[in-house]
Amino acid sequence: MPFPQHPRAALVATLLGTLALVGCRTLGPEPAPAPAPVATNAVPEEPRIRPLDDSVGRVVSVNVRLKFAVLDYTLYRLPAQGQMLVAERDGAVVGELRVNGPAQGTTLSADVLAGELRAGDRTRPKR
Amino acid sequence: MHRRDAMASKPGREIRPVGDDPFIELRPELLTVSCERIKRAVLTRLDLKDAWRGRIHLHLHRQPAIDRPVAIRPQVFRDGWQFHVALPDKIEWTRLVRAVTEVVLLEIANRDNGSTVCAQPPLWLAEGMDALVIGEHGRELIIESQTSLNRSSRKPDPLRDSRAALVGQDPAGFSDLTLASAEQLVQPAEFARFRANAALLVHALTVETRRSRTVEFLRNLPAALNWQTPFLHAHRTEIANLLEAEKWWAVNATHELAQDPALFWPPAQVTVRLAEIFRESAAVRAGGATATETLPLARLITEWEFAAQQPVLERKLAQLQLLLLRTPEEPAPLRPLVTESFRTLDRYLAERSGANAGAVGRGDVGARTKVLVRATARRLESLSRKAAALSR
Repeated sequence: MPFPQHPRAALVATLLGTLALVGCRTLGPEPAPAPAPVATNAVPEEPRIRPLDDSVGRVVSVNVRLKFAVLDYTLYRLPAQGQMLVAERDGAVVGELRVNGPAQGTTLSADVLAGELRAGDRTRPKR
Repeated sequence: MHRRDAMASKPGREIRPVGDDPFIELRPELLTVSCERIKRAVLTRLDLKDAWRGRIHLHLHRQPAIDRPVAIRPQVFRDGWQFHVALPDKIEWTRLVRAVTEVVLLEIANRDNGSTVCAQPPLWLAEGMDALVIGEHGRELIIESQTSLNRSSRKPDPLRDSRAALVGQDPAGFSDLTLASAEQLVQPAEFARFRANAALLVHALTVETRRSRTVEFLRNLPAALNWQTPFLHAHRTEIANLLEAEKWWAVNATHELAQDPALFWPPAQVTVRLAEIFRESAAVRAGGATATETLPLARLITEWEFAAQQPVLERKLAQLQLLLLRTPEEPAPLRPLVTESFRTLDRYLAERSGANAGAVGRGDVGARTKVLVRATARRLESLSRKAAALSR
């Protein structure tokens, strides 16, 4: 674009340029760039207390030959398909199971992976 | 209640209440009506319309009552199958229902059977269907002359007898049940157990979501040399193989037996469950180490932050509600104990939630809340002691 030859036009152009510069100054200092995300290995802090009794089952029957157990979760939350469980008797771990198979209401079946289970044993999610 | 008083008023007629005598006299005009009723009961369970093709002939013979199953003789013709049922003129009514149930299943299975080999529904299916039909309709299936009829408007539980027969017993395994033959079931107790299990199995197979598959199984029987192949094919979306069938049955039978609406848990089981509810195991992190501890609810509400207590106590409330449904009236203190435990926790949660709008740490607990916590802890300890005393 050619520079304006007329003195008034030059004055207007100078004023506009000055205003533009002043306007820019009023925006304040350019904000500092956001800090780049830093890779971290920090994990969210675990709660101080973690209740463990929300999903407790009871062994109703065991098919020793076919290695599966029928579990009852009346009063408790059902474990998910594929979830690993431990069986406890008198507070000691006596076996390991994996939820695998049909479920009906609060009754489900789980494959016995290890141990010798009995009716009455309690099951919990494996931690 | 319906009573045929008109008949009773006629002189010379003797009115016997239905159910006194297990034996009935068969008359052609009444027998056909009874058979239609039995057929309708079977078709209703399978959700089938009456589209019969094979003929069923009932042969009444003057002969003494039999103490063995009624003989059914299938015969193939160019236009399909016909079945001959030989009946004595006096028979136990349950034996008649069993025979008609089986012949109706035979007719359905062989309706499209173009071969010369009659497809036989397995024993567990005929026996289980018979037990369900009798459990559901009872002697109302049978029309008898000179009898009064007390008809109940309430539909009975078809599995009532099966549940009673299996009290304290585990359900039979799928293969043990389905491979049992009549020759193996000569002992009455053994047969009663088989029949109860068969009824449970047929009930599970004729619920609304499965009955069309069971009909498919029945109709495909002639195409296979055994019943397992059409069974697995019909139920393929749910049961992939015989191992899955064992699991499916074990779960369904256990569930079905536990579903008895009248089934309360034994008091000892209720107190064990109550004791479980009165304590909680938790992983507690302190100084970088995590330890598992089991603590009574009284300690939990005293020591834990309310935010940590709340979900646990809400779960305990739901568990107490479910436990109440299974708690018998006797011994007398048991139900009030469960009810009072529920009320104590419910009141505590309501007051504590109201007093603490939002989670509050231990240090922020006001004087009023402290009083509430102490009173509830004492109450819970007392209830827990009572539950322990009952379990002894």
